[in-house]
Amino acid sequence: MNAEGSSNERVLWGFGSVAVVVYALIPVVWILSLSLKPSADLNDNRFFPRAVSFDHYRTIFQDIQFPAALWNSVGIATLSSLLAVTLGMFAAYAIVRLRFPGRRLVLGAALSIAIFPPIAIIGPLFDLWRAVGLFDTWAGLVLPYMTFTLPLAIWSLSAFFREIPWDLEKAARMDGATPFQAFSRVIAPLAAPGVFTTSILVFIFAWNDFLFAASLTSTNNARTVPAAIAFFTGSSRFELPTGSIAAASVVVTVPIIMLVLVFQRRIVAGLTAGAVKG
Amino acid sequence: MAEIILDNVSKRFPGGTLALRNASFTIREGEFFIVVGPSGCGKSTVLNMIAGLDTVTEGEIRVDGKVVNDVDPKDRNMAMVFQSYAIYPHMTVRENIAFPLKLAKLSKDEITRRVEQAAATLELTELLERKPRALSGGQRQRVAMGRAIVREPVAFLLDEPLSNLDAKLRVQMRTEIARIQNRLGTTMVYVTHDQTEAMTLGDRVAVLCQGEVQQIGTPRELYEQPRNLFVAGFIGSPAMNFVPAEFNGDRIMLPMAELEPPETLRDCLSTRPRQLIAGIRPEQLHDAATGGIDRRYGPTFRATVDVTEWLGADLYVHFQVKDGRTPMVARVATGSSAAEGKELELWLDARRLHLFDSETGENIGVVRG
Ligand SMILES: Nc1ncnc2c1ncn2[C@@H]1O[C@H](COP(=O)(O)OP(=O)(O)O)[C@@H](O)[C@H]1O
Ligand SMILES: [Mg+2]
Repeated sequence: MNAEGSSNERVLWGFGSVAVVVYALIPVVWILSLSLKPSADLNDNRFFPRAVSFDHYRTIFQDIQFPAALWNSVGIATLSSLLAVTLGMFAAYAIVRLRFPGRRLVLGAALSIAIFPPIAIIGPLFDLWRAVGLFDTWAGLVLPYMTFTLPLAIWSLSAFFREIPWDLEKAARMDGATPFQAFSRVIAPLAAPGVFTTSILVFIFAWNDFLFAASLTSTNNARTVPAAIAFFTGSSRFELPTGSIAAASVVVTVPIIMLVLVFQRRIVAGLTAGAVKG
Repeated sequence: MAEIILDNVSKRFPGGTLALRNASFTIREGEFFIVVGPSGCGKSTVLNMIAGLDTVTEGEIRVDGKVVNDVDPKDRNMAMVFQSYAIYPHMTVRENIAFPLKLAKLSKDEITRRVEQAAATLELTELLERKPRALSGGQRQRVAMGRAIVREPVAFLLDEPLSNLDAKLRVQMRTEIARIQNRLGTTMVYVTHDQTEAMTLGDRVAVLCQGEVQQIGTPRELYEQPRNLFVAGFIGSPAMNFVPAEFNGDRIMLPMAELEPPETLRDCLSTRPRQLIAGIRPEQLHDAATGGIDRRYGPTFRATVDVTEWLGADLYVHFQVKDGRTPMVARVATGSSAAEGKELELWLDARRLHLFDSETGENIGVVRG
């Protein structure tokens, strides 16, 4: 009776999980399938391609637009996450460890930036960037990405720092470390899981952004993949670039998947286990 | 090795807590110095100020004659062991112990040599490649010790290093720490709330209460000549019994008996009648039936036994004095026939009676005038 109940339960949970995964994966599989169909089959109403062709991939990489956009995406997202996480790490550390007036204020201000709707500043930012020469540059995108992800970085990193026993830092100081050495040799390595998690979140934000990328760029100088895809054109004005868009979408998804897979192992909780007697 | 002097040191935390008030004492070169007191009395604060982890609000701390108030902790060359051990979880035992040497930029060979030597001293050799999370509490404690002894510091600072260990391991590590200190001869400042540790380990002990130094002395001095009620009650286990006492100019009236002032205290009492508190250590109370009593040195009285505790070598008898509600403890010979609920005749050996002023709490036999 009991065993039956639990096996029923397991079936229920299993079914639920499968349903969610299938629901989430259908669009992805559909895009993958589209990207592999030869142009002529694009409208054949079949879920799986009849014949597999890599024509669309070849097309997007032959065009100079897409490789440039890919390079911009990688560069801009990496720079944004590096900067946001580095700055966020110092800010979070200060908030957790130092008692200075206005700690709460900093956290509150960070939160208010995070919930600020980007669409509200995009117009003024467009004018401003054109005036100061940041329009259509990497810096022009890195700056807003960093700004909008810093709060997230500060919040999540301060949660990680809070978990690290303060005694470790004192011990390092007694062992002869400067405050900076104590931070870089003891605190930072222990906060590594937090740093990786935060970096990935910031990276994904920058990688996926369309709003800033579409509004603040105009050429291959700084246009990132999400914006570039929107500017794809078909080989003739009567043909929709569906296949190319699908192929490009698949290509931009790959780095994200790899990133998560590679760092998944580093994002192990409980790294601080054993620091102090629990 | 170093001589550490605290000269009128006070510590006030930003919140306004006065954690230490006008502490002055000298920790001699090579001494095993203990700071003992109940939780929250400012022991860690004292240690952190010596270490440089906390700033000094007032006064001076001198190490070998040099004022170190503004010297960074890393430049004081002191080693500290924390109650939480604070070993680095992302480093192996070897890396943990080598950390201070790496920061001091010693050569690779020298680091290896010293780490292995320290590991051998603490029986950690087998564990050198392990991560802290794969160690037991006692082993972590050893790693923390290893990290301290590996660098030949001018002083060891230990903040309740044993309080997270179980009783047996605590006794074992206690002996080991004493051995290490003996061998290295390095000045050691050891903070604990456990008076047994203080008594067994210390060359000298400072008793702290609410940020004030109550008394500094050898364990024997603290036990035999406590300056005040706090020290008398804190040092010794079971604690000293306190009963109200009235001096009528000639004799001392205790709730259970009256007696002549012991010879040693006669000078301190004059003939003025006064209210006092008498302090009686459990071993001053003997079962009158087991012999060895001498009524010249103190009275006998009868009391009803509440509880007895037999510890093999000792028998503790808890009882209430007749007309008071003061619980008392006697440490009697194990041959005693004391039984719960029965009456027992006890002899008070008054030769080492302590009398405290009922207002100031000072021991009139120690603090004169
Ligand atoms: N950083 C701090 N800020 C404010 N008060 C503190 C701080 N550290 C300790 N105190 C206070 O100072 C007193 C002494 O603390 P501490 O030295 O840690 O005591 P102990 O080690 O003897 O238990 C306590 O009342 C404690 O609350
Ligand atoms: Mg403490």
